[in-house]
Amino acid sequence: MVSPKIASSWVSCFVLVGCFGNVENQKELTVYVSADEQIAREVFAAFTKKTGTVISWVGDTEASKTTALVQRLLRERERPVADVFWSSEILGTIRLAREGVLVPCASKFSQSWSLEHRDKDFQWFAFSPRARVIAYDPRKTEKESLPKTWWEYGDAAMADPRFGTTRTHVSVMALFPEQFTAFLESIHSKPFLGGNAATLQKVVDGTAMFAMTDSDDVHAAIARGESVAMYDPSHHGDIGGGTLFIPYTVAVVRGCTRPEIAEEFVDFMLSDEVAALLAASPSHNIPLQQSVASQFPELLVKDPLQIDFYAAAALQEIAIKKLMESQFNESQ
Amino acid sequence: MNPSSRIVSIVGIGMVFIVVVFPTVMALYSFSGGAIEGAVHSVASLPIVLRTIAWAVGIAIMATVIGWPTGIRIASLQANSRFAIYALLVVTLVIPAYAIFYVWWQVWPSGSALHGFVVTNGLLGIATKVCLALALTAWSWPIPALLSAAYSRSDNSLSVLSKLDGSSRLNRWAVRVRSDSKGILLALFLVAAFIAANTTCFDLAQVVTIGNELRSVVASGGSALSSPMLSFVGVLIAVLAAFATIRIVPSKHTVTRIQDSSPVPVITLWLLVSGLPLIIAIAVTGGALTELWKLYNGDIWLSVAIASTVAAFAVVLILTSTLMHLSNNSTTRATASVLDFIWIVAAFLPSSIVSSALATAWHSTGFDFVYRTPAILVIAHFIKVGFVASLAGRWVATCKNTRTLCAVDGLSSPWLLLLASLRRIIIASVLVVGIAFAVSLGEIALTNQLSPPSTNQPIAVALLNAMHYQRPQIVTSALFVIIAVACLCGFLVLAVNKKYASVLILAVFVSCTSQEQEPIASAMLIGGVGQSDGRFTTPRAIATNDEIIIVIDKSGRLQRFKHDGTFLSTWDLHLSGTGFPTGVSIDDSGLIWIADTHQQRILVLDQNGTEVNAFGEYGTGDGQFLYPTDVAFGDDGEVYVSEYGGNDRISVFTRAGEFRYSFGHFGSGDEDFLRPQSIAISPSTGNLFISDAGNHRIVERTKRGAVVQIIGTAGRGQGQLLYPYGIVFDSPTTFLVAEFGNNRLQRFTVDGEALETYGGAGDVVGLFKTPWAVETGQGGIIVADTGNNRLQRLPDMMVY
Repeated sequence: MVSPKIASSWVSCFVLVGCFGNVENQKELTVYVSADEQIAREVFAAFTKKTGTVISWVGDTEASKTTALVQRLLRERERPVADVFWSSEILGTIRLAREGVLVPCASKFSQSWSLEHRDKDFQWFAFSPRARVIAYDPRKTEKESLPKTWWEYGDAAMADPRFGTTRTHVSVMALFPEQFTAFLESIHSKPFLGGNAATLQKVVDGTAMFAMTDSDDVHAAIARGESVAMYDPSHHGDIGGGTLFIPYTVAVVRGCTRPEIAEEFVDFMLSDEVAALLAASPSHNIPLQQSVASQFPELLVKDPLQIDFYAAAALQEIAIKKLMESQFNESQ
Repeated sequence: MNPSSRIVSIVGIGMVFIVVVFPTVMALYSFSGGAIEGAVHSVASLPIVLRTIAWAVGIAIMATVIGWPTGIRIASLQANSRFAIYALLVVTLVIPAYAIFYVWWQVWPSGSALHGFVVTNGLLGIATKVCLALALTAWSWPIPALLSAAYSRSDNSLSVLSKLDGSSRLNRWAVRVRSDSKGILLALFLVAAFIAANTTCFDLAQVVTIGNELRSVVASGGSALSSPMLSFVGVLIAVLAAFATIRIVPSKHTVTRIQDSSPVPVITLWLLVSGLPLIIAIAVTGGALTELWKLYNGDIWLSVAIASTVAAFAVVLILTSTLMHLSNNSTTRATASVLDFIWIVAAFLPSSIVSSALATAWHSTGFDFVYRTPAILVIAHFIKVGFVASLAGRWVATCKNTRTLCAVDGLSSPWLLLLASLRRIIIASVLVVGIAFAVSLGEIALTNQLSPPSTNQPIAVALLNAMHYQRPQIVTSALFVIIAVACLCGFLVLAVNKKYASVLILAVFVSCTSQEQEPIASAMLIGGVGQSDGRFTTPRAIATNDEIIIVIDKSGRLQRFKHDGTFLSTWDLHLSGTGFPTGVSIDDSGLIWIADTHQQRILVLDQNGTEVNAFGEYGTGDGQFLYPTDVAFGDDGEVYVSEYGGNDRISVFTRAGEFRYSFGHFGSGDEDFLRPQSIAISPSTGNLFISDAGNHRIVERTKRGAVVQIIGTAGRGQGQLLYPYGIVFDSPTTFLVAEFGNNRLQRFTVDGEALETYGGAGDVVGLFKTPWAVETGQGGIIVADTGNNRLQRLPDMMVY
């Protein structure tokens, strides 16, 4: 027979855990998000205000970004915790769709989303992209003297290619094998940095002339008063060879406990309201909706890169491996 | 093993199982199945390992070179100054290392002249690494300093001799280093392990080490086995640190205080190395606190809730660790040491190994109520601070006198054992709660990897992103909160300084059983700690007559003094074994009767120290002894001998040593004894007043052993007793009791009425530390102030 002391101790433990525990609630949603935490909070607050749904969320860190969250979703696939995955890049989402972690979203709004910006089976939706850019110090470098193509930036400060939008960009680069090989050969031994913000800091510090980063990081640095500007090299000289757009994506997790609310959230993320909120935010995401884009003409980019992200996703492991090997060999 | 002991062991083992063992087993099972499909790209492991070791060893050397000599200096300070410095050092340790690095980093921001100079000359990489080294050293030097201060008190005897011999400073330092080698080695191990396990600092400085590379591997889909070399070295460092902590016991040097040093050099060093950047950081946060609260108040409350839970569990662990280490059962004590080892290893493991183990264990096994709630963060943070609580319990249990009592009482009264160790437990709890709180609030690596879904996230999440995204206002504001908590911890450490211990006890335990802490006025000291003539090493037995005071201490010496404290002579008792007498009396003919406790006999010496009689042998039969404790003389020639250790009785002999009869036996009933420590004979009735220490009472019995009255119950209030040891009649109608457990004297009437208590715990004159004996002398009461290694003469107490 269990003594009263032991029993009361266990009761106390359960009460303690219960105080922390999640109570099943119809108007609650769990979101895994790899977007900037401050922006994510704004979006969640807007959704809660609109629908009354409380959002519990898990974020990422600058160091490991979306990749860590993707791995977490894969580990949890048998008993998913998240209802929705809001990613700051696309290749991880594609992988999740391929592995059956996501489920088609049947909401009315999402059904009308352009095929160019969604999974063909409606498992994910892309929106409000950022541009992949080169950051430089305009006090030290004239814009006209900047190299015109990405393949000439072997010396640029680069974040760890195993994570985040750097991973996405390297995978896209691998779709151009000749140029990519030349690019790898031009990379000089240098440490990979902890994130896009760190690469940009190198330019601010004056220890690097260029940095491979995202447009939102440059906007944030400019807002802080740093002397930095962005330039968007092309990937090839033909039409549709310009700036790489890396979109946010949103998707519903297979087996989630609140699919209706999840779909409601997906519709919200694809709405003009969120597009305008993100465009006006410090990250200045580029709105895909024409009705919103017309309000932010300064964000429009001519000739974005036309790319098959599925093909890039298929090449990402090889691309990363080649880049890591070239770095390792260079350092020997 | 009795039920109480069993429960304590279950709780202790249960905590380790739930927090450490279960996740480890599940993780190993999971890792053996392979990582998630998908290539895991790891950079070359060997350079990372070498880099990590180089940083760890380098910082350890720098921290020890600064900290160890500083600790020696700290040890020479007066008690109050010493405690204040301890508080400063604890504050430094409790602040996360990354906070110190970030603050140092902001000293030369982009755009500043220093930054411009560094960049212009291509020194930014080196400067960042120098900044990192400074910050890590600034955080870690208190570790060797605290170790050194704890194990060194002023100059040790070797150093003193070297100085007297006229040796050069270099030679003296060489001697000192040799004698302190164990402690220095332990300090090096500990600092190196802490640095090797650090992730966030190296992350911010963009230095790839085992910690952050493993994090990258796990984040990209791998497991600890994906980088076996990194994982192996990470685990090896943790295991080595645990071994070093448990096995390397630095030699403790006895106090030979040469001079009271000034604390100014130590404070100056602290300011230069650790303090000033923190103070500047606090000063510049200003109104950013408002913004921090506006944005993150929910996050802060969540973090406080998690930290509070961690702190509460830490206190539970202190108590279970204390009781397990105090257990009479050797298996339980061994288990406690194993648990200490496990806690230390767990604390030093790379955080990625810990986080992936916890995630695997609590999610894959279906315990979602842990995985999806902040409970998993409580467990993760507890892993980081558990070893502090476990070792704190070990420290509480090392109190020698409590250990002695355990040998008597066993663990049948864990409540009383905790009560007896209360002061140490309070000190340990205050310290550990502060550390647990601050560590939990500032813990980043595990928090970010395990944070469950919530409307608010722990403040560490926002802090890390703010550091990466260059939001200095948010960073410094959050750091202000963490530093404020650390300062509170330091204040609490200061508050449990002996001088304020009573205040804290009263504040924490609102009870009417508070201890008197007022020093006895006009108390005078006789002797002090040492092995030379006139000094003592744990004096436990005293006896007086009109001419002399006799003292026997644990160095096996019998010393004689005049009543004014003048030293007369020393006799080495030449006793074998490890124990020494705990009782001595002088009969009316001047013969000295020694209760030779660990030789199981009574030894009688004359005034010249010549043995005139010895009787008794080991055994439980008539006339035999296990552990005799005291000798008293009846008015018709009887000799009464008290003993414990299983016999726990009073045996009666003739002056020639012939056994007459005995009474009493082991137990807690009216007729029983649990360690009868001393006997006093009533001048008016001739009855025996016996200090029944383990039963926390005074028992009056007739010469034939009939119980007359039982005086006192266990406790700290007036009229209550805690391990009464010494007893003496200071008038025909009153007697004094020296209470080992309450660190005081208490006066009773022969009818059992408690009149007054005197003294309390402390080392200032007029306070006591575990007093063993009390006698009357010419001009005052004489107390064996055992824990303070001295006698005290109390002239004003002879009022009856």
